[in-house]
Amino acid sequence: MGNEFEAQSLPEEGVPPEFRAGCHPAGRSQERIHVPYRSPCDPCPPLPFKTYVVPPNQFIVFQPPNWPQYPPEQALRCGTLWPALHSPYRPRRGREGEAT
Amino acid sequence: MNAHPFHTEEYRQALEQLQVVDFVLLELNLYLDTHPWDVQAIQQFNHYTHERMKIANQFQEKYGPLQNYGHAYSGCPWSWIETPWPWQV
Repeated sequence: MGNEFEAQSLPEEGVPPEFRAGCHPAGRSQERIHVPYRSPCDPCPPLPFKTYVVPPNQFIVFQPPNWPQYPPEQALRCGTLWPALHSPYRPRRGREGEAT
Repeated sequence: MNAHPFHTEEYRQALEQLQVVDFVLLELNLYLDTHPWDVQAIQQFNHYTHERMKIANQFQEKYGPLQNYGHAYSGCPWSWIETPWPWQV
């Protein structure tokens, strides 16, 4: 099981383009971190950790009605009509830890 | 075929507006599949459907058919072959 510490510990680099549309949900991030097995025969130096995303829909059994919605233009850019279901993709490039 | 208004900013904005409304309709449609009793969402869906019809008609009058096989009228000569294919836009 991946260990539970939050992704906030990741160095927060410049805001990636997809967040300029205001899509980034506030509060806890959806990324979790785990450390894979490191074999002595590994050709390359081990990475500090690898990340995986646990999207919000894993925690919602049945979507309640009348949820707050994004304005249409922003919904198109965020990929969902409801902020509660938004799961942003954070590009790997230039981030410490897991390689691309 | 540069005479046609495909190379204008309005064309792209009209397309994007259509895309925005289509995406909202897509989300609401999937939502309503599992929430058939949600009256408010149905009202919103109908509002955006009406909106989409208006936008599509305006678009088609100006730029030609969005879909063929009877989904849109045609001018003369046959307009379907005039408009750029989606991947060319």
